Amino acid sequence: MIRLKTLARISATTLLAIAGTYQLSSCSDDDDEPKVDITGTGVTAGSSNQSTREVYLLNEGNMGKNNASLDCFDYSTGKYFLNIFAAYNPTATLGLGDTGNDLQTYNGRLYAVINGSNLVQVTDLSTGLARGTISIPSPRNIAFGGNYAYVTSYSSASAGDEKQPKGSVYKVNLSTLAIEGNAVTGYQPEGVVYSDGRLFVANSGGYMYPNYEHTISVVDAASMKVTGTIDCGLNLGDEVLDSRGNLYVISTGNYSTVSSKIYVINTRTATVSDSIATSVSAMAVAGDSLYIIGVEYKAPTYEPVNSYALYNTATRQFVGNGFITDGTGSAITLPYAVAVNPATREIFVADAKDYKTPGELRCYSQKGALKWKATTGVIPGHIAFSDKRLKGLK
Amino acid sequence: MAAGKYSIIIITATLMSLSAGAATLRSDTLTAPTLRPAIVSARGGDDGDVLTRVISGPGLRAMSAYSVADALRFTSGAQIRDYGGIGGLKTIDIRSIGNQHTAVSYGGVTITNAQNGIVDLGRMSLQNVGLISVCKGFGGDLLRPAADYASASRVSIVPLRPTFGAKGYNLRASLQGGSFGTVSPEVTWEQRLSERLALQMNGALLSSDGRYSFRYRREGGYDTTATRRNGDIRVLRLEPALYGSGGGWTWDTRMYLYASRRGLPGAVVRGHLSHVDRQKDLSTFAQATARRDRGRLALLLSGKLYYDYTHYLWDQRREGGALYVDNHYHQRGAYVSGAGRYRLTEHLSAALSADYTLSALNADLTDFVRPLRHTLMCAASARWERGALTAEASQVTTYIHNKARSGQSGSPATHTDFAPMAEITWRLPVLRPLSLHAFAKRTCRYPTFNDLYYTFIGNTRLRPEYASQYDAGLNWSLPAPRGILTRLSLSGDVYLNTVSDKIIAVPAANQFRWTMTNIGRARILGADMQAEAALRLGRAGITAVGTWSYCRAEDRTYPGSPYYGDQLPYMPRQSASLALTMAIGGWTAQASAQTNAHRYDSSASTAASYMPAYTLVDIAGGREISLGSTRLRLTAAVNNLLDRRYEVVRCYPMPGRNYKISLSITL
Repeated sequence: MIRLKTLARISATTLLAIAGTYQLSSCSDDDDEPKVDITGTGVTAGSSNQSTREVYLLNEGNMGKNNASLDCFDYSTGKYFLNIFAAYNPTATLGLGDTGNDLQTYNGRLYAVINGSNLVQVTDLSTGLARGTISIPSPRNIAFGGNYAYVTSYSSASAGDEKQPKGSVYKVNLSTLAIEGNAVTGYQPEGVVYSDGRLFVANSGGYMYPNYEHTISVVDAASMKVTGTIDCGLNLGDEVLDSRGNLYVISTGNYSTVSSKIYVINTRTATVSDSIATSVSAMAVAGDSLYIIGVEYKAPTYEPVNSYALYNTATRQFVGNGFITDGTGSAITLPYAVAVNPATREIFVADAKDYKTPGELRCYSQKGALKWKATTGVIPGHIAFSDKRLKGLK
Repeated sequence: MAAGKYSIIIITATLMSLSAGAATLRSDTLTAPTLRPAIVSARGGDDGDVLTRVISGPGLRAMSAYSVADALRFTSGAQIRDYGGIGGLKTIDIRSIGNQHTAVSYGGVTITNAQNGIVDLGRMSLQNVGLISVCKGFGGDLLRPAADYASASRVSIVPLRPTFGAKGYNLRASLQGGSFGTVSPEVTWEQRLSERLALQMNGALLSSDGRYSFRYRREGGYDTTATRRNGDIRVLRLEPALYGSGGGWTWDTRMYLYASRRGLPGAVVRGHLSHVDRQKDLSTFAQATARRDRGRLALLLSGKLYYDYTHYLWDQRREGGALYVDNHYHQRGAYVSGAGRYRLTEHLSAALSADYTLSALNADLTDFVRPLRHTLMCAASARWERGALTAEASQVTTYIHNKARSGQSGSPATHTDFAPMAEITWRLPVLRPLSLHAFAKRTCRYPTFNDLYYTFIGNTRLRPEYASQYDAGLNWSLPAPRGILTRLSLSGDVYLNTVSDKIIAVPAANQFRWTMTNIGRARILGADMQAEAALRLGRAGITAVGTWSYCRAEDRTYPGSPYYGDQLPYMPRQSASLALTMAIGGWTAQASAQTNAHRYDSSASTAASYMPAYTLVDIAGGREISLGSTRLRLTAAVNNLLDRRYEVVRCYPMPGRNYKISLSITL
C-alpha cells in the first residue's frame, strides 16, 4: 500500500504543477473593467499613433477539439496576445468553441462565427467581454447592414424533408441578437456581402460532390426574399466587396478538371462583369488592390506552389511579382488567410502550417516587406481590425 | 474559409468516426470500457520469452474487466487509446510506434482489417477468453503463421479451451451489470462428444444505455456537469466451436457472429454536447486451425473466411446541420496459412510459413473504387539454443497487390518488402537465473484501403510505413520459493524505435483538402520495467504486479518546425501501475492504481494542447462458494474510486466512479 500512497503523492504533485501552469487567471464577472492578467509576446516596436488599435485573429482550431481561439495584436505595445477570449471570459463554458469560420468587427463589437458550436460569439471591442451569442445552426460567414447582421448557414429555418436541406441566410437584430428573418438560398452557402439593401450569397454545394453549386443568390435584405440568382463559377466560396460596388467571389472549382477562378460581379446590375483566371484560395481587397493567395499542386511531385498575386481592379492587370516582394514568401508553409489594414495598408498573411500545430501570422508593409511575425493558435484563418483599444492588455 | 475545406474536414471526421468503430470488428463483444481490471497476473511467456506478457487463467477471471482493452492497461509500454463510453473505440499502441503496427490475433488467426487497419480491442469480450499475450518483440515458438512475424508487436487472444471432469459436460452462466445501465448475460455449454471431440457453444448479450455524467471546469471560471448521451449499445455475440484431436493433430474450428447497434457519442464541444450518429455492425467469420507436433516435424495449418458489414448513419438535420451520411460498408476476405517447423539438430530448429490473404471492400460512397487486395507472406526463421545462449532470426517477405475494381484508374499499388528480425538471449552463469536479451527488428505497415483510396484524401502513391526496433533488457526471477515469497520476478528493457515514411494526413491537393503522405518520422526512446511478486501468508495468497514505463516519443516530421522533436500526441512520458490481489479461502480482494503523466493532444507541446496527468484507482472483491458440484461466484467492483474526471482523447470525457457486479454459476 506504500506504493499506492506514493502514486497518490505523485498525482497530487502533478495536479499542483498543472495548477501552476494556469497563467491566465480569472477576472471579475460583472462590470466593464476586466482585470485580466494576460501576457503578450513582443513581436515589434509599439506605436501609439495608429488609427487601428488592434488586429484580431480567429484561429479555426481542429474540428471536434473545441480549440477555436481568438488572438490579438496590439499596435500600441507591439505585443501579440494568444487566446484572449478565454482570458477575458473565464466563465464562458468551454471557451470560444469548436471550429471558427469568420470574424468581423462592426460598430464597436467583434463577431466570431463558430461553426461547430452553432453560434456567433459577440464581444465588446473595448472590454473584451462577451456580450451575448447568436444561435444559428451551422453558421458560416457574416455581413452587416444598418442595425442587422446577415449570417449564412448550411441549414435553414424552413428545412423540409430533404435529406440534405438547402442552406439559408439569417437576419439578426443587433440590438436584441434575435433572429428576425431567414431566406433559403442554394446548398451550403458560404460568402455573404451586403450592398445597397441587397445580400449576395455565394453557394458552394460543398456537400453535393460532384454536383457543386454555381450560383450567387441575391436576397432583398429588408424582406428577406430571394430576388434572383447569378449564374457564376463552380463551388463558390469567400466574397469581398470593393469601394466601387464590385463583388469578388472565389470559385474553388472541382479540385480536378475545373480550376479555381475569381468572378467579378457588378452588384448594381447583379451580373457577372469579369473573371480573373488565377489560382486562388483566399483574397482581400483594399482600394484598387486585390490581394490573392493561391496554392497549387503540380504533377508529378504534387509539392504545393504558393502564390501571392496583386491585381489592380482599375486597370484589370496583375501587378509586378505580387504583394510579397522581399522573397520571404517561400518561408510560408500554407498561406491560409490574407487581410489588409484599411488604414496602413499593411498586409497580414496567416500561415496554417500543417493544420495541427500552431500557425503563424505575418505582417508585411504596403510595399511587401516582412515587418514582423507571431505564433498563433491552430489554423489561423480570419482577421479583423479594430479602432478601439482593448482594455487590460499590458 | 470556404466550403471545400469544411467538406473535407467533414469527410475526414466521418472517416475517423468510421474508423472509430467501423468494419473492423471481427472479434468479440461485450465491453464496458470503463471498467478496468483490478488485477493482472503478468509474467513471461511459458516458452521463456521475456518480451511476451501473458495474462491468463485465474488472473483473467479475477478481473473486473469486460474487455481485452481493459485487461491490457496494466502492460508496461502499452498505451490504450480510449474514446470512452461503452461502445467507444479502444486501440493499443505499443511503444509509440502506432496502433496499426500491432497485429491482433484471435484463436491463432490474425484479424485483418484492410479498410483502416484498426482493431477495436474494446469489442473483444473477456468472457470466453483463456489467455491474452502481448508480444513486444519476437516471442518464442517458431511454429507460427507468417503474419505473426510481420508486425512490430502482437496481441494474441486465445479462447478458453474446454476441459472436462467426470460428467462430460460443463454449463456456465453469468450475469454482469452495473453503471451506465449495463446488463450482460452470458451462457456457455461445453459437451464432450467423444474421447477426441468436444463442442463449445458460447453466447452473450450486452445492453447498455452508455450514460454517465461528466464535468468540465476551469480554475476560477466555468464549471459544468452534463450527461454523456448517444453512447447506447446493444450487442449479440454467438460463438460455436468444435475442438478435436486425432492422428497426432489437435484442431479447433469456430464460427463467430457479432452484431451490434450503437450510438457514437462524439466529441463534447461548446454548443454541441451530444451527437446523433448511429452505427450497425455485423461481423462474422468461420475459421479453423490444426496443429501437429510430433517428432522432428511440427505443422500448423489455419484458414478463415470473413464478412464484415457496417452501416453508418449521420443525419445532421437532427442537430442543426445539413450533412446526410448514410453509408454501407462490406468487407469480405479469406485467409489460409501453412507453417512447418523442423528440428534439425538438438540445438537448431528452423521453420517456414506462408500465408495468403484476400481482402475486398465495397461501399456506397460516391466514386468509390471497390478495392481488392492480395497479400502473400512468406516467413523463414531459425532458432539456435546451446547452453546459456539462445539466438533467433527470422525474415518475412511480403508481397501486396492492391487493385481498384471500379472507377479510378491508376496502376495497381504493389509492394514487396522484407522484415528481418534477430534476437539473442544469454542466461548468465552468475546470479542465475538472470538473463540478458537484445533484439533488432524491422517491420512495416501497409497503407490501408482508406489511406489509398478514400474519396479525396486517398493517395495511391503511398508506400509502406517502416518501424525499426532495437531493444536490450534483462530478466531475473527467484529460482525457488524463499520464505513467504513464492515468486518474484523483475524485468527491464530499454529500447530505441524509429518510424519512417510514416503515413500521415497533410493538407494537400490544394489547401482545402487533405491527403495521405509518407512524410512522417518519429524517434522513440523508452524504458519498460515490470516487477511481480507472490507471497503466501498462512492461508492468504498475495500477488503484486508493478509496471513503470518511460517513453520519449519525438515527432521528427518537419525539421524546420519549432515543434520538431516534441512528444507525439497523447503519449505520456511516464506511466506506472500497481495491482495487488489477495485471496483467502473463497474470498478475493483486489486493488489497483494506474497513473499516466501529462500529455499533449497534438505534436506541438504547448499550453493549448496540454492534457493533465491522471491516476485511477480500482477496487474489487469476490466470493466463491461451492454447493456440491455447483460453484457460485459473486464479484463487485468499484472503478475510478477517486472519481477522477479525465480524458484520454481531447473532448471525449471518461466516466467518473462506476460500479460493476457479476454473478456466475458453474454446473
